[in-house]
Amino acid sequence: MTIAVTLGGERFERGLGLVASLPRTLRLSQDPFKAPADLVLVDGGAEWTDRAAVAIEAGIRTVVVLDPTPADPTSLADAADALGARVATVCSLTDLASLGPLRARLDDGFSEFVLDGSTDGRLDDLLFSHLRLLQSLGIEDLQMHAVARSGDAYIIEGTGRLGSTSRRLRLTGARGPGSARTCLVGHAVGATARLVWQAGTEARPAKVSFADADGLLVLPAIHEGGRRHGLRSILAGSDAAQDHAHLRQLRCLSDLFHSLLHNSR
Amino acid sequence: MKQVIGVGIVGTGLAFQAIHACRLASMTADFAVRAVWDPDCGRADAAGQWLGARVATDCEDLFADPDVDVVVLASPARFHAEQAIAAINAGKRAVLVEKPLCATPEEADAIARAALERGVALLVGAMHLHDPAWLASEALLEDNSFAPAMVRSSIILPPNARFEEWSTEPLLPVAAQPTARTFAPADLIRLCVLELAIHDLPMVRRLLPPGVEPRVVSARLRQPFGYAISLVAGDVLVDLTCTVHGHWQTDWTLEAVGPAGRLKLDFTPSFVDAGSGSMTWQDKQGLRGHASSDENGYYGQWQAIAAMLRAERALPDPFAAAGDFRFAHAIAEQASELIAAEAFA
Repeated sequence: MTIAVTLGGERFERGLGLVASLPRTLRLSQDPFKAPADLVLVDGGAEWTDRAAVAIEAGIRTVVVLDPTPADPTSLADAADALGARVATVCSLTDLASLGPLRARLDDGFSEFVLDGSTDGRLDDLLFSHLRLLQSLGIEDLQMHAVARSGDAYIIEGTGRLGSTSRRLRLTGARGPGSARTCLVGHAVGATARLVWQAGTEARPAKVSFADADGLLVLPAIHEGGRRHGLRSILAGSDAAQDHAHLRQLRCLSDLFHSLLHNSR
Repeated sequence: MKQVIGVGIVGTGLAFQAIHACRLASMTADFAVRAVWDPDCGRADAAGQWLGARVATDCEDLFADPDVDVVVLASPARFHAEQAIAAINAGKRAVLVEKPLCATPEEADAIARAALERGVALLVGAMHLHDPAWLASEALLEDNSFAPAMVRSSIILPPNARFEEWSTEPLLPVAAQPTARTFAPADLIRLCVLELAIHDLPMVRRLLPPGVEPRVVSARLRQPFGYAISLVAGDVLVDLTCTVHGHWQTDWTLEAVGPAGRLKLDFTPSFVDAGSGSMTWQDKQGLRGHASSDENGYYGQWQAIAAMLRAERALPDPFAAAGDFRFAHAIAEQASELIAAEAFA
């Protein structure tokens, strides 16, 4: 099946390579409103919810948002439900294929997760991607506060629940040279889990490893970028309800993000 | 032919055995251990016999020994000030004090004043400060134009005992050490800073704007042992974390990130002779670095002492060491107060 695709948003170029990486499945349609597309990719920059809403109101059945920035997509999710459309998101960091195997190994012994990052882009984008990464790992009920914050750095602490167990969380970020990079370390008494990832190229794999008394387990490198992996998952599935649940969770995450920006103790 | 420098050791416990005795054993062209003293007579005798050194009757006897040029204080920190000042006043040429320098800022200043007045080389045994990777970083950043937004010190280690076992064997059976549970949380975090975080704090201090005072904004202990402390120094956020876990992997990094550059050091652990750390510096010009080399900071500090005593290198400013201690002490006290206040609340 060929799916016509159009791209919206100011930074739509980032989606062109993604579309081109699935040539049997996706073909570009320049004007979805003249010849309606089956799927619209929307860049997740400012006002992405408006662009996604316009698309579904124009009859597009599937909208995929690339790297969404903080927003309240509640009404978008409601509109999608009402119109029988589907709105999903993909992110270069939080849709990494290696997150599944990582998540499967994070048992109750891991009492603390630390996310350290730097970026030459917007620090806020780094922070939001870190919050989304926690969510993607299955960590819920995030209770966090900014311990310290400046124009170029932050230290954030809090707790979240993974399974039935509360975990400590610590996030640090700073503006620095080079593309965004993130290092996640999970601490357990008998093990250390580690994910190291650097943005800049879509298919640069995350390095994921586990150290415990038995030695070091390094998970295989998966050279499929998070956006492509996420998009293929969306194309393979049809669980709009789950997508919209995730969309609604973005509101909570965005609220948390804004509170972290404005409140530090 | 170079004259061999005589070394006197105060405190012959595991730190001395594993760290200094092993390094000095491979630097015989420069150093010889001439005298030892320990309040545990059995341990002092065993060390003297092992090293072929005279067993002093007390500290004063060791400091008065004309064959001793350099004194190593590997005793508990509460004795350091009295012992360091006595060694300086006895005319020793260098004093190497195992970290922390002493117990209070006033003591640090008194030691520094004595060292300055007598022209004695005062060094603190913080080995990463002498690591070739750090020295390469200092050379890269010597114009002080780098202003980091964030400094992160992250220490992930197996328990100390494992490294002691990998590097030495106790001359005499070691008495059971107090466990973390022995201490009240507010005391334990102070200990964490002054015994563990202090490895990196002199380097952290050098990465901050000169003269800024640290303000601890968050502190907590980690299980089974460790800490997470956040502080603000001027415009810089500082993240100090440590986890001592139950398995084998070591990961010891110091990172400074700012819009103009990113410095990252990977250090080798204490006690063992694992070579130097490595360093990378990334800025708009690209990436530069220092690969791991054969000798770690333990060798570096002894090489520095040899060069100082042979007038090939200037003596360090003793008030820099005192300033490093003041910095660490301020963090330790503030972290302790925060933890005590939380416990009270």
